[in-house]
Amino acid sequence: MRFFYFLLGAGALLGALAATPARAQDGPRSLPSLARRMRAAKDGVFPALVHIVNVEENLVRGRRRKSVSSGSGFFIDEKGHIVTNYHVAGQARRLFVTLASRRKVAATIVAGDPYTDIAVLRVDPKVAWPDGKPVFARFADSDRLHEGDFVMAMGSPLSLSRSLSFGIISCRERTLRAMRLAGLETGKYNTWLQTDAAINPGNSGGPLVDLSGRVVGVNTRANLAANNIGFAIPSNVVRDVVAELIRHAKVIRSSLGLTLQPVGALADTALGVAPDGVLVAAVQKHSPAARAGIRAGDFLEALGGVKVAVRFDEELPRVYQRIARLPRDLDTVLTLRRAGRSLRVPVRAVALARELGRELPVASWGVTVRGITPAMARELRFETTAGVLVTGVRAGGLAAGRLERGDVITNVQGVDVTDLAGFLKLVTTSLRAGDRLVRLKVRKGAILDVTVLRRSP
Amino acid sequence: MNRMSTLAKMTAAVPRVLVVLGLLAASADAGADVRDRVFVVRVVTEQATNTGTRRNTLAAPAIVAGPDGLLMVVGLAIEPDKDNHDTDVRVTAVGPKGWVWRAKLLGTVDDLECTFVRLVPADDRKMPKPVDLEAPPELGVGDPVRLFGRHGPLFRHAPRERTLKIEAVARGPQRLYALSADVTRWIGSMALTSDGRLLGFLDTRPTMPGRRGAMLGLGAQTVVVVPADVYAAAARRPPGQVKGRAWLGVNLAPFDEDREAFFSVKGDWNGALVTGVASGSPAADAGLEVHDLVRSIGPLRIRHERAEDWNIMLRAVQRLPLGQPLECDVVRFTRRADGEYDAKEIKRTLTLRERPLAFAEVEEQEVADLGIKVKPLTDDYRRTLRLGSGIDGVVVTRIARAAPVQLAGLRSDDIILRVDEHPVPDVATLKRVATAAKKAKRKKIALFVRRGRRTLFLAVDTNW
Repeated sequence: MRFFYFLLGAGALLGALAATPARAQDGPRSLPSLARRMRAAKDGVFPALVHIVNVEENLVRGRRRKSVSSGSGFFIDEKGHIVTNYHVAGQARRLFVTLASRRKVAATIVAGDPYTDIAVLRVDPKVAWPDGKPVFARFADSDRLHEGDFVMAMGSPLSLSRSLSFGIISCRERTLRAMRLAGLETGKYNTWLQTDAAINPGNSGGPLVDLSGRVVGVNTRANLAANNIGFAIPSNVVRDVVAELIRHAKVIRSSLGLTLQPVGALADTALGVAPDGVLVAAVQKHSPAARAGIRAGDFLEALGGVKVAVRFDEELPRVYQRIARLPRDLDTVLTLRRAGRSLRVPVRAVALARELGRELPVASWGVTVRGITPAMARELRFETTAGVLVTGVRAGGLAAGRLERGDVITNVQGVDVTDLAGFLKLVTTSLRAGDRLVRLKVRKGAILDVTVLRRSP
Repeated sequence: MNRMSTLAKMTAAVPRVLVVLGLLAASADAGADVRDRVFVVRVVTEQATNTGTRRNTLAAPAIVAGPDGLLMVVGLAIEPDKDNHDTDVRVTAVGPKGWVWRAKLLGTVDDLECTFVRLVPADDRKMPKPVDLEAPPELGVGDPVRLFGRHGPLFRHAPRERTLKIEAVARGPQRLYALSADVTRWIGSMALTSDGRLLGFLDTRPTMPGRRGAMLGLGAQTVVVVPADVYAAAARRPPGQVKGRAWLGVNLAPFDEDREAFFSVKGDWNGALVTGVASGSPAADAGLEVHDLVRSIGPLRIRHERAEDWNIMLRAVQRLPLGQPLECDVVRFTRRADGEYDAKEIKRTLTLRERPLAFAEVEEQEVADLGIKVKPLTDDYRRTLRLGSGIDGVVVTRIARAAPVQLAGLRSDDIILRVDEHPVPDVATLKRVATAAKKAKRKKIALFVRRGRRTLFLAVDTNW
């Protein structure tokens, strides 16, 4: 059956190949030619393919819990760097990769970027290639892809390592509904390649390869309810992010505090917007844009003198990428239109702040807590970042029945909690003092309650 | 689930919207036979589904419990499904003369498991006079009780009767009459004396351990008649009729063991700990502060021996008189240098005001020009969403199927902040602006809405 579909795919290819004179030369031999090209492409990338097994540690209901998961990845340089997805290995405690030679070796994590769901791992080159002959995949220019181009997805679907599936690019610029990964909005800075090459759980992090044997994307998501609707991060995005991760161990992005919206159907409304700009849908409080007086409803026409035009959702990630690259030591002039008047507003971008605070377990209380960042305070509508957020409570622990997820501990033993570090200090002090009764002030939404934790003698 | 009445269980399959109905009586004196003054309330729910409209009908007997056509159905919890905006609920009531009245669902009193419905006035008839619930007759062991009510899961027929004898009488804080028989299907029925006077209603939770039947030391087949006067207070202030409910403007929590331990006090410290004070509320005006302990408000001593007392206590607070200065006993805690607390008794004078309408109680209003129903943004809703005071708008509660606003992406619970360049602080403004846009024959209008924590613009095609 599979073979039958494969032939159909190959038959469709004939027409496409015939369109170009060079390929037309293949003539009646074009089917074997396709097979040859596929095999050549596969041979170019397969030796760089790895199967990744990671041991992750999560904080669940107030305690540490380890779990094992797996995914795919591939070598990208002779230094032993491996690209995979952040959701595969970004939060791993221990990593093992199985090489094409079927040897299993340990790997370390270099860095990860949840915004684009990319992570970089590293294996010692001497371990990876004892013969001194590194094998790694090369990236293609994903901007040159077209719908209908043939691609192959490589990886370990359902842990079946070294698997290959075949399909076409179904859409080269897909926007997907935001997904939260490590609390961050994944997909804000990139569009996705949609492919019908089969992508299943375990394919994540594997390469999507064109017929010239170059990586055009990193397989990341699939709609499991559909037949072969998979998504990959375009190679141009991957290349930039990976370079940053290797160089700085993180991706530093600039932010103005703007939420933008495509003009789309709003072009004909009384808002007075035109297709040659982008609409400001929201402005974060205390952000550079808010300080510069920019408001929701303003129409952004140019960013640092360069015009921005966002008519459709697919065009939005590029503008966010441009904002992410704005200098943070110089003002950028935004050209805006408000109520028919043109405005030029200088704004200085700031570094995009960490969105989620650190999460830590407090074993003696049976809770896990997270520090509160300004972004979290904004999201959760807290007036202040003081206190720590309870993220889990262990059943049977000291805090069971007294604290619950979402509570904010604001005061311990009469001392106000400023941040996570301060909180941990108070917990340690109380523990050392041997306090039998720990008095807590707790904020539960709008309610300011008190409770106690009783330690048995 | 255990607390649900039998009929409520049977109606659980209906999309959480239930029914009521009633027979009518003509006069209001307590001594008269009430059997000819019972309505049959019928609730029809219609839910639009992908395959068509699903229709459910439920009916139950109801008694005229108050003026202005207030009907009460015992043993039934009827709550509209607030999450499902595709459901329509129609309530009618059939009177003793066979007249069909339109009626409106007011809501359910959970602890009594009774639902209230109000008849819609009609020109050609008078409102029925209420049955007196306040002073039911007193009966003794062996006296006959006539159950008058439903038989069967759906009340499709005229009320039926069955006579039983009282097996035991409890004379605690509340009289209860125990009957011993399998009368599960009669739960919620009216219990009448032999001459047709209203004694009470068959309790909805008869045989559960720790419940009323068990309180009388009787067996599993025991059911209990709760005297009518227990329902009288609820009938005086039925749900939906929020007028006259007292508002303190505080969050209160029982002063339990943990809270006592926090303030290191021992002994009889019954009371309510203030865990929040709304600005501009009577409590704020009286100088109550967070973590004050309120021990009494006017005549009401705040006590809570058991967990279930707490809600009863909170309801008692709501029934305190309005507009009169009430002296409160308050304990204020001050933290000492050694970490312990000093407790100081103080007096505060509270003048309770009428509770502002909660979001759930506010009437939906239709904005026909947009094909939506909306509610104003109330203070409690603002608090729930933690919205700042600077945000004004109206909340979308229902959207007509395939309306242009739905195609534009508007969703229930969105808050409309602006229409084109016009701010929308209230429903009237929204209606005016929508009508003006329609009259101006504008091709498209832009809605500026808040959805969760973000704002966005939506373009609505006005060519509807």
